[in-house]
Amino acid sequence: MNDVIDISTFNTIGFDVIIYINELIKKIDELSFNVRLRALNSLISAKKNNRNEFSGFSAISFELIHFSDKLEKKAFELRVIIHDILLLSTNQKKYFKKLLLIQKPLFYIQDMDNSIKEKFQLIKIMYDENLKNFEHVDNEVNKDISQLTKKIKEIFLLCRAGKVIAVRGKIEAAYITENKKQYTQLAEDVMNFLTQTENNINKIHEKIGKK
Amino acid sequence: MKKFEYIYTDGDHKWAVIARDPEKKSYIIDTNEYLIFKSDEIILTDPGGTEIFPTVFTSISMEANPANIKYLFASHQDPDIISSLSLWLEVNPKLKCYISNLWSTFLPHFGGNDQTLLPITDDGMDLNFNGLDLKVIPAHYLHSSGNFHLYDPKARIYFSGDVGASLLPNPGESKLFVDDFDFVIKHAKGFHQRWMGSNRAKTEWLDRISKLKIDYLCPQHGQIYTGEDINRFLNWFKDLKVGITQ
Repeated sequence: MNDVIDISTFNTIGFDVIIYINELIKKIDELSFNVRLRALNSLISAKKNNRNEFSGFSAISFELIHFSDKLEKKAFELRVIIHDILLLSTNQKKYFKKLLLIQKPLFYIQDMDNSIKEKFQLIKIMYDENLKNFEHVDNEVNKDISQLTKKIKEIFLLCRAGKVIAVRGKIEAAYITENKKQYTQLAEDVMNFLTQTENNINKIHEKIGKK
Repeated sequence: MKKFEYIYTDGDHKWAVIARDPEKKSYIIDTNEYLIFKSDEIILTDPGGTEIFPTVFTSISMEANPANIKYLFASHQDPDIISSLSLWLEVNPKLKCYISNLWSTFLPHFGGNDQTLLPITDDGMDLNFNGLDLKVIPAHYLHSSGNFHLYDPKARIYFSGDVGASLLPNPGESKLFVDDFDFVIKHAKGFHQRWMGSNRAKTEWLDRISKLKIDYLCPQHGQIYTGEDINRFLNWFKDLKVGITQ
């Protein structure tokens, strides 16, 4: 019989961490939707006024809509990954619990006679099977977390690009004479949403780092 | 993956069901888990066994925050109902579980301790959940000897545990609500005849719920009864001889 590894020292990603990250990703999803709404509003408002002073703002609104497409797509990819992490990490916990139960009798008999160990062969088979499952799932979780880290970096860079568009929107809004405040506000809302998204990204990054 | 679907919403008062997993292993009985939302908190009924915990947890997480689950309601002690208790306690160590007092020394074999459980005495109780008045209705011997259902008078939803259960072919693909009563009842008959232990208990239960207004009869297995199908089921159950082996 091979040695039994004490798995009580193994780390699994905590429920509090998974839930925290999942809730932040839901917020990012919501924020990306809000950016799209603002972009659409700004385009509709600008198009209603068929004057030259709105043409710059219209162009920016189109850019913002294309940008929000990219952001929503990234947010969706993030949701797919966290969904996978949720499923895998909870499966991992299930195997972990089974292993904790199974390993106890195996530790007692580890240094005993072979004739006694043989009687516990079935338990050892169960233990090895669950350990294999646990390790497989652990690998998959780690791969997903690497993917998650990559995606949140991509979203962070995207937010930076989005803020540049929003700043240009504010500049264009300065040329508008009628309802200038409304257009400035649209651009500022987008800036705020993207800042909140960046903050959420940073929080996720921090939590992953602590895992 | 199990699907999450709201079946009742009224502001911050909602009911949802987690059901229908096409990828469920065939050797595990199919189950429905229900969530009752009031304000920010959630009661989860018959949360399920260890094997399905990952899919139930993930399904809930996609739509709600599982940290807001403050109470579990276990209709009785079966593993398909509550063997995931220790995993749910990891999600929220302060979680409490309602259960018949008959099982209060049995359930800790799944997890938790005497502080986890909120034992219910045989007569049932009124349960106030953030201002929402729920009723815990006795349903002993249908099938467990210590067994309770949960009724929401405001939503007119009755969680009936194993009563009303149907073991459908391809449960992962079947609809959420009964739309072919005869088909469903064909797959409910054997289960009710074999599992429901007492004709007397059945009659008493039927008398008890005849006084209730019910729009949704929600079993732990199979499809949900609505409208006329609720009375159809109750009349069918009334005439069925139970406590027999084939």
